[in-house]
Amino acid sequence: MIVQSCPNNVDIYGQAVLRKYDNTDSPVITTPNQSRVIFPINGELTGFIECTTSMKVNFSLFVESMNILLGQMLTNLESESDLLVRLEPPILSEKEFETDQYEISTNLMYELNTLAKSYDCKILFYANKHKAKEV
Amino acid sequence: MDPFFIFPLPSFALQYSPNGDLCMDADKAYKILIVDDSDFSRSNISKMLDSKKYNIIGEASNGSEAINSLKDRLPDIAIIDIVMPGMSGFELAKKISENFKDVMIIMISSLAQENIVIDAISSGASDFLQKPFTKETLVNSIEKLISNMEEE
Repeated sequence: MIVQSCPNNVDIYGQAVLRKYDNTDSPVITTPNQSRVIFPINGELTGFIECTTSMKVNFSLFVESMNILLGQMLTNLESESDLLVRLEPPILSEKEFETDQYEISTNLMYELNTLAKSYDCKILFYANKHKAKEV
Repeated sequence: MDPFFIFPLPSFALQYSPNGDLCMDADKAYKILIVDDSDFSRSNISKMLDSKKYNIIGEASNGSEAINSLKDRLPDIAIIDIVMPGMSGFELAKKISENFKDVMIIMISSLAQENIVIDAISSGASDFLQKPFTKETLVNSIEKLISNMEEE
């Protein structure tokens, strides 16, 4: 359900484009010099979404691109699966988060094409499903 | 001898910017405050509104900065992101609606669930735009608010 909710292409204000990789052409991300941001989620799914790139990137562009992508994904998720999930402000900490406790885990790959360069972006989705009392 | 005429331009002559936009005095332009925790987003919005018709009086990266800006100089329109650290866009919009009643609010967010849009409007926003939006969409939204303000 999460994978189906992900848009294939997202234009970022004419300054970059995000393109979803098919499973077959997904690159392997190597870790050195990676940029990383975490978006906690709450509502009928709680957990977090971790976004990384293989290279140093214009960080503000990267974070806003991920925000826009995840916003569209969660908006689609509500219309397709009736799950209401909200994004929290991004966390820029280097801290590692526990992932064992989550029943849903999915990973996706996108290519972020900026005017200057392309970056492979890995998106790891960890969540538990429950009916929230208040969203 | 060739005829020689001088036509002095009146002081109120219309002036145009290099891109052809009609110029207005800064004090007559509509004052806009941009509130978003993303530098990239603030910078984009600012570029989209780079016209003599609009005067970006400030940019704030969170609700507290926005409140301070509002106390210093009152905008006509505040463009507010919903998901921000600390005070959310909803909380900020409510404070603005209570304390700065003349300020019109446009809320922006990458999320656009029906529930979010309803919360935005009930917090005091006059319009809601899902990110990413085009310059045309943003300008249309602002012009709609300006038109409403002028009718009032």
